[in-house]
Parts: sequence; structure tokens; C-alpha cells
Amino acid sequence: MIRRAQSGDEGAFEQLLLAHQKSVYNLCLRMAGNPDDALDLSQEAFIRAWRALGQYQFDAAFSTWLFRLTSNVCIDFLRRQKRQQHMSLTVTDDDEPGEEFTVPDPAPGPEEQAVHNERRQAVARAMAALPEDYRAVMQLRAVEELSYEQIAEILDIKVGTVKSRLARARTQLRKILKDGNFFDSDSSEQMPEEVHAP
Amino acid sequence: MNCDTALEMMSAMLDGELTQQEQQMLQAHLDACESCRAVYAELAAMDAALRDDQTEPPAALRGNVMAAIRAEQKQKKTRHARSWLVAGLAAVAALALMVLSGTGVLQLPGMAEDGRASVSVGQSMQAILPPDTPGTEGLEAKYAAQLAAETGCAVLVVWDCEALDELKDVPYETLDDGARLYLTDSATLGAVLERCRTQYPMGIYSPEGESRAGGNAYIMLFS
Repeated sequence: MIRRAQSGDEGAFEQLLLAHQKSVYNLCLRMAGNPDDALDLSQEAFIRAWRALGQYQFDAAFSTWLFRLTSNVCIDFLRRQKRQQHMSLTVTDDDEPGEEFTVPDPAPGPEEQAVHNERRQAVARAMAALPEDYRAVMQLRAVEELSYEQIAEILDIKVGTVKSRLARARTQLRKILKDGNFFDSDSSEQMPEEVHAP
Repeated sequence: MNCDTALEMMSAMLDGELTQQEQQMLQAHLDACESCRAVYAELAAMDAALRDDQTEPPAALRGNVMAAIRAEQKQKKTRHARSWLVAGLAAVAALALMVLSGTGVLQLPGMAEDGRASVSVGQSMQAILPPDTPGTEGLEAKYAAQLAAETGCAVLVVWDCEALDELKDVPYETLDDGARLYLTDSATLGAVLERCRTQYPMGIYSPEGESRAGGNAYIMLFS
């Protein structure tokens, strides 16, 4: 299917888009922090992917190639944003969520759903407070469940860097969530009773 | 193993990236240490919560991307079609130069047999291009052909070109669609034709019959 898309088959590319749009969108959302920018970035990523499709050599998984492209789109965006903020002399405190950050409103539902959504919002907010490098590795590891090697390839860093970034990201995330009572006993049903090696 | 070391290893354990030996060591510590067990559980819970926090992409994503792609493809096809003009012109440019530098009836060998006359805006136009060359039906082509007929001058249309060095001192008129129309002479037209024929898609329109305008010519730049 990739080959068909490479030779200009728009329908084949659409299939690829459908298969990967959720991952791409959520990575962009995690990086940009709001749905509007996430949409723009995702669109940009796919359009770039279409243009660059001829350069995909089948030497890595297509998703890896696509993630790498998406990550670059996000990085470019964040850099531009920083430059603009710098120029307009806005003070951004890295320890707090940026002003841009919005979590998509979850649909209202029964109480369990409400608690569930609260936790979701809490973790999303906590993630938004992390520096972008940490957000990227956490999204790719925890959500996309990619290996350290795949992540290293996507972000163009060493495996060791992936490993240490994840450890630090988790430490920081845990601290934020703990301060926000995320791990309190009423949510203990989320924690496994026994801990086994995966 | 102490708790600090254990803490350092937990992240990798969660990701399945510890060696067999490291796993066993950490597991042994976790079995014995309640607080580290709790931390590990918290890390696992965070991962789970993150996996949960995924949104469906908006429906607009697919539509917008595919629309943009289709627009690009269409644009590419137009440009590709125009590049055929260059190929056609390379062969014809030499002949055109001959014709333009003199006056008189425009005649090209083999023209009648090939049926190369095309783009008839009225009967008095002739374009020095194969009839099925894409781009010759465009508005610019029609305008150029009309201009050639009305003024009795040759008109050279250059696509994908904003400005040319040869014309930098030549006054021009800007048309509604942004094209530049230069009034110059046939020697300049010949020079431009000669220099640009391999670089830009072009079309040349010349009125049938005697060239009436005494060596004048128009050049239209279209970008």
C-alpha cells in the first residue's frame, strides 16, 4: 500500500492516513498542548509525508518514519513559538502549564466517568508541565509503546538518552501528580495488587 | 540494592529494557521493600493514565489533508503540461527567430501538413505549437493570440517567470491576473526566446499574414 501511495495513489495514502492519524494527532496534541495547533501540526505532518513519500526506503517501520517527520514538525513549531514569545517578552514559567494548554473537554457521564475524566485531566495537565523533550519520550513510550531504539531513531538521540530522559520524566511527573493527590487511596483500584516484572 | 538504585531502574523495568539479571535484582528488592513497591505501582499507574488520555483526531484532519494533496497534484499536472511547451519550442525556436527577424508571411515548413495551426481565437491566429500541447487553451494563450491578431505583432508568453534581466529596463503593463505585458521589439523577443527556451515553458503567437507592426513585439510574463 505504501508503494501504491509512493507512486501517486491518493487513495492508498488516505488509507495510511487513517491508520496513523490518531497516533500522529495525539503526539502533536501532547507537544503543542492544545487541539487547534495539534490539528494544524497533524495536517502539516501528513502533507509533508505525502511530499516526502518518495524518500521512504522501507528500511525502518513506516510508523517510525512518520513519527520522526511528525516530531520534526512539532519541534519546528515549538521553536517558532519560543522565538515569538521571546520577542514579545512574555515570561514563561517552565514549572507551570503554559497559557496555551487546554485539555479537550471530556463528555459528561456517570460519576465513575467523572472521576476517570478527572484523572485523565490531571495527568494531561501534569504532562503539559513537563519540558517538551520529556513530553515526547513519554508519549512515544507510555502511549505508543515503542522501544527505546525506535524512540532513539525517531528523536535522533542515543538510546541511553532515551532511557535517562524517561526516568527523569517519570520522576518529575510523579512528583507533580503526588502533589495533586493523584495517587490517593480513593484511586487505589488503579494500582495493581502485586508487582511483577513485565 | 538500595532504594536509590532501585528507583533508577524502575523506569527501565517498566519499559522491559532491563537485562534478565537486572530484572531479578530489582524484583528481589521490590519483593522486600514496600515503599519501592508503591512507587513502582505509581509509575505503572501513570503510564496507564497516559494511555487512557488519547483523543480521536477531529474529522477535519482527513478532509483537509486530502484536499490539500489533491490541490497539489492538480497544480503539478498543470506545471508538467506546461513543460511540454519547452520541448516543443526548442525545435521551433530556431524557426521562429528566422521568421521574426524578417517581415512577411509566417510560414513554417511542414506546418500545413501537421495541422500545427491551433488556438484559433477567430480565424486569424496561428500558434507555433502542436495543437494538443496542454496550456495552449489557457486564457493567457487566448489573450496572447488575440493581441497578436489585433496588433499585428508577435507575442511571446513565458510561464512561471516573474521577471527577466533582458527586460529590466523595458516598461510594462500589469494585467488583471498579475501578468506583465512588455512592449518591445522583435530583436529583444528573439533574444529572450533564445535565452529562455530551455528554462521556462513558453508559447509564441504570431499573426497570420504580413507582420504589420514594423518589428514590434510583445512579451508576456506569467508567474
